[in-house]
Amino acid sequence: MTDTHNGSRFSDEDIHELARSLESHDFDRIAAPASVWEDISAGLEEELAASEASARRRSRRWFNSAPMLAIAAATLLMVGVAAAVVSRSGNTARTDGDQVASASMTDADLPVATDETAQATVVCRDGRCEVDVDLTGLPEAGDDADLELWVINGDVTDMHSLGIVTESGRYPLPDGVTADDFPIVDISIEPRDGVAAHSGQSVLRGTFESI
Amino acid sequence: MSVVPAPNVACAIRVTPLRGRTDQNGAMSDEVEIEFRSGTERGLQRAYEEHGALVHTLCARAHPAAAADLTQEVFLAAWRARERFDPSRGPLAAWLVGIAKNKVVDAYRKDGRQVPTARDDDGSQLVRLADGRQPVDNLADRLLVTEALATLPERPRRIVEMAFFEELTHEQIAEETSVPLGTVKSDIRRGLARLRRYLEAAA
Repeated sequence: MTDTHNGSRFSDEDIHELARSLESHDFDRIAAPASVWEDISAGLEEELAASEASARRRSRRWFNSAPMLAIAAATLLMVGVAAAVVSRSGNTARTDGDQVASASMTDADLPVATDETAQATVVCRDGRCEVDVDLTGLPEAGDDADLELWVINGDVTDMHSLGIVTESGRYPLPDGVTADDFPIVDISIEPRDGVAAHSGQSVLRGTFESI
Repeated sequence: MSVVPAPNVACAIRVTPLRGRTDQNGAMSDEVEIEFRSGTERGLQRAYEEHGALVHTLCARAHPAAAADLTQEVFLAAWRARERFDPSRGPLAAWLVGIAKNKVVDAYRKDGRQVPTARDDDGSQLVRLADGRQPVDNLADRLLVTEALATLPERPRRIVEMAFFEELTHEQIAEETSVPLGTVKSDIRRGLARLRRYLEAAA
């Protein structure tokens, strides 16, 4: 049979070969223990409760409280002043370059929990790209450990360290590394043990979406 | 090549042909998928009832020690990412298998404190998992083929099985089943398209 799907990852011959290689137990399914659905259901209820609570908090904070609005206005003013200072002081102004992708980073589904979140934005100029990380605050790393920023490919088989994170700021991407190819942005806790590899202790993570 | 541990066959169940998916183009609109995207607990439960065994089989064969936790993580992650599921790009089963593959690789990485690049060469399990065509990918592909076959209606499924497993020619199949040769050929062509759709959506 001819392959009429040249653009496909799976030619007719690939599929025939897969089918020929099947063994009897590939037709078998292993039922999950009943506890698995119970855990999923409990996890889902937690998520639903958390998102409702945070929606309530947001709505109280921004719309229902005059003192809060005053504080918010004052904060915006201060941020404005700070931004003006930063942009006068040099090369870190946020409008510097094109924003090509961004990711919201949270601790959802990660081994280490934190109340902090971050926004990561890929900013490119003249073919050079950086990840601009804006943290609500630094997650707790503990003694003798650092926070390290990574970008990881879609099937988690390759990653690049962008360096130690001590504050919100910009971290250059290595040449040829793009948000398309490395869509997962990750901050992990790295013990100072001389091991350069990712510790597996991720505390914030997000996925880049094109802007 | 494969280093996937032997499955726990104590509670094995057989893939049975599915109901309610009778079109052969693979472009089915599936009410489970619609309900899943709605984000309700009922929608997630129906997705789990339909595809939980497939996901758990992949997790149990790829990472037996963590299988139950991984299956749970897959469905919660799928619920969070439900808006990114696009039925026009492939069936929900295959999308869930794609998530499960990532969870399995991630779990090995967390256990091993190892950057799983294909360039590493220290012989660890992680490296084998990450080495080009990963064993977990191959396992997923095999499960997706059997899953996709089970969604075919009776006649085309039988004809595809005769062509693939018994390696009969189209003429022999037509002879044996008394189905016209043209129908045999179109059943096989559509069957291949269905299988490809499952494989690509998880790749």
